[in-house]
Amino acid sequence: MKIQKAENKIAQSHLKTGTINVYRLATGVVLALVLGAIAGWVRYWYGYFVLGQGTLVGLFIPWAVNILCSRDLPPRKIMKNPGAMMHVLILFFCFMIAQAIGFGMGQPWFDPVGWLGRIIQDETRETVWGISLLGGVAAKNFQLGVNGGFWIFLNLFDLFFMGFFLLVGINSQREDRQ
Amino acid sequence: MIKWVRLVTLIVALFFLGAGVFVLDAEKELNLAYRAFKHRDMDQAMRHAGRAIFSSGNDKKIIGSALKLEYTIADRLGHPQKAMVYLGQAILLQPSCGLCYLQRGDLEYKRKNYAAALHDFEKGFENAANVSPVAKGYYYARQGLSHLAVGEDTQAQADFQNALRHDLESPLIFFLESKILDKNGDLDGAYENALQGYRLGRKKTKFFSSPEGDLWLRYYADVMIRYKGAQR
Repeated sequence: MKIQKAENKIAQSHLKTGTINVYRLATGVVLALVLGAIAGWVRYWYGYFVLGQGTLVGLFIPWAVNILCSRDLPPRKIMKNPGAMMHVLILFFCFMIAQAIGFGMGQPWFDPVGWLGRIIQDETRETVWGISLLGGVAAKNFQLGVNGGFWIFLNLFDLFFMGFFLLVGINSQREDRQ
Repeated sequence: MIKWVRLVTLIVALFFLGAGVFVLDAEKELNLAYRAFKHRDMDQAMRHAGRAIFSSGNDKKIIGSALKLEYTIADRLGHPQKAMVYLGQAILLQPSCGLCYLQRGDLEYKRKNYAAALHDFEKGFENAANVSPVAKGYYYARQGLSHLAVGEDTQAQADFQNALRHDLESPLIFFLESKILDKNGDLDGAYENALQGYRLGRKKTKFFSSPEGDLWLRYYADVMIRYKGAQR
């Protein structure tokens, strides 16, 4: 019990000094890469659940990081805290790269960038699915193919929510500033 | 009341959403693949064909059709190795598909594997009753070119005759005859046939715009220069 308390104290002291456990950041990066690849593959074969994907990923990564590498554990290796925004940008970048690789893995031949380019240029469509509330009363499911500007808008909409939840979940501010 | 309607419709919508996204109907997917192919959306056509195969169970007809569609797209988009894989799978599934062998022979010819191409052409013509005359003419011409490449000129000549019997409008057939005659030293005959091939090729918009058409254009220019030189 005493040892655990001491370890917690050490962990808290690192937060106060503006450092971060390297393993905590690495866990987040690995999770972002794995989730990104899975999301890309699923998105290519089954379709894109706008808002659902971003929300799930944005909530899952910080939660899983906390489960796998708790803030209270004594850090073995520490580094300067990159700040919440930079932290989220690192995870976001890893997720996007892995998602593109996931698209490629789902394709018959690896061409994720070409595929995204063709969607933007209206040469193909990406299947999007979700649930809408008609008149605020009756829920209805939909599935449609989107491309071009509307596709970009839907992606930005989804990524905004993902970024927001990541930012809230990471919460890497020093304890005295929280 | 509204709260209940909202809840019930949400559950129903969630159920249909899950069913629509994750429970696939092979026949519907295949139809969607054909429709996408018709609209030149090759990405969606490949995707739906893949989903049709995934959800078909053991329906050989659907798998065979989807594999042939995938072969066509892969070949058209310039992925010959992938196209070979799809055709190989289609042949394993439907060993009596003569057209599949002929198409694989064509791919082997393009990869300059002439012995393998000849083997596939031979197998393909054994079951080619359902193949259209124009396609037969094309594949006979291909077989002739393969025979010519391995030095079997007599059989190449026979292939030319067979090809001509099925299609009189194919530039490839006349280029084949031109090559045979050129190899035998008959430059006049080679030029005449190459000229005929050139005329027919110009009528077909896609023939000379393809990479292979470019090679035939160069061949025609080469024969013409040699012919004109000999005339002088």
